[in-house]
Amino acid sequence: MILKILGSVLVIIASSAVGYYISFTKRKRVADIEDFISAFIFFRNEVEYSSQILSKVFKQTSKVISKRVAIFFNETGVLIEENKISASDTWKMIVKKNHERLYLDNTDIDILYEFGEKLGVSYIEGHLSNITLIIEKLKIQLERAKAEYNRNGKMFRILGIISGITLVIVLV
Amino acid sequence: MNYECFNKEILCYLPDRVIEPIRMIDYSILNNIEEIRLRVNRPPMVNISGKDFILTQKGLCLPHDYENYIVDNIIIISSSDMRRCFDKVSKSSAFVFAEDINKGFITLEGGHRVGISGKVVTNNGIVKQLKEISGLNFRIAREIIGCSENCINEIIRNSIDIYNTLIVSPPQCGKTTLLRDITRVISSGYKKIEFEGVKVGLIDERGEIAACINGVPQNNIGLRTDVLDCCPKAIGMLMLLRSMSPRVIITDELGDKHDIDAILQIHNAGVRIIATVHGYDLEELKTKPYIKDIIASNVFERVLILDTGFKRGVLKSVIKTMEELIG
Repeated sequence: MILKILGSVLVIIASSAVGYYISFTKRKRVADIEDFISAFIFFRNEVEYSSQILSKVFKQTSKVISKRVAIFFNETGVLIEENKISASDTWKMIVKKNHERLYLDNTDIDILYEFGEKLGVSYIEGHLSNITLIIEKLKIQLERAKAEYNRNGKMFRILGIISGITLVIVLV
Repeated sequence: MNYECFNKEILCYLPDRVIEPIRMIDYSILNNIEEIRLRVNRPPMVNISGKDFILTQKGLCLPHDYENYIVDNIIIISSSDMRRCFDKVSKSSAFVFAEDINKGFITLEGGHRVGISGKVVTNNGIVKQLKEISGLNFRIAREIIGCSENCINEIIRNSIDIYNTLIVSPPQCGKTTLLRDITRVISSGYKKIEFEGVKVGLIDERGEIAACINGVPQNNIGLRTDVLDCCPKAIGMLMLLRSMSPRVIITDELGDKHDIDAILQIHNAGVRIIATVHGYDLEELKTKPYIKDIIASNVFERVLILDTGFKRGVLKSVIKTMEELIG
């Protein structure tokens, strides 16, 4: 009997954890997109007003944002400074290497890749409009991510618990 | 320039395919390179002591031998080579160098200048963009300490004063190198002729003379020299006059009316001037708009004309009297 109770509790805990994890990833996606939007806004201001070269703008941006997103900007800044591959390829390489650390979906990641397309090759107007476009796209993604979290976040948590209880009832 | 400097200041910016063949060139030859030219769909060219050579996988060859050269050894610069090279030169930050690019060049560490050619986009006669880059010309700057020794006597009036001097030379005859060394001597003094040295204001519009990085001159421009880096000449001369109380103002390549107006103001304020101008001789200068006016105004007491031969910075003649000058 004790084993049955213990097993049931474990099943409920495990299924709840899955539900909570899915909900957590939705919440984290919102946070990640918010961090990228803040980073790109800072980046745009630095490009517009600081007259710094791209590697310094990337490094500067990495200092004012959350660590999880800062790694994208810091590593890109370091590699651009080495001047071995183009800025565009560097950014794409860093996104490819690090995106799994975050909770972004494929569309979000495609937007990040898109940021790299015009990196370093354009005049300031082109740069600023490219960054603005990326920020706007991320804002749309943010609204969607928030809506998804509000709609499904709580549901996944409850669903995790309920499916655990259901499984216990069926098995017992 | 030692090999390490050459590597750090020039080679690292070139396309990968060009770096190795240049490394194969003997250092004694490499040290005399004046220009490295890259043009899309054409072979890279190297100018050594005023003579052009084509760069191949196996070294250098003369342009007229090029047709007979083995095809395998030929290097042709592609559009992507050019793009990547421009990317390296602009540090992937074309937007930061936009003003320089629109003027047609970017200055590298060490004062080397990269000339740019491509498609120019203008608006109301003003260059708005230079895109589709089709040619880059790496002009290698050299600091030659002591190269002004032969002409400094002509410039110095007494132990604390100098003559207003105009240096006349066509491009690539060493006028910037000479001007840099004159700046050093006038600023630090010259014991040989008991010249004590005076405060110098240097307007380095293209960043070639002092080669400042983050505001710090990389070349030796003397103990008492204040530099306005990348500042338009006419504005810079008046700024220095008001703010730094120089005894001598030095600037490179006079050209337009604003420069001439500023020179007259500086002269009226009692500050000495040393400037350079493009030209072959005095007769030619007298045909140039604005320059002929400044010559007629008697501001310059000495005109140094440089030789156009292969040796750089060699004095051809000195004009000392007003009669000679005005003719």
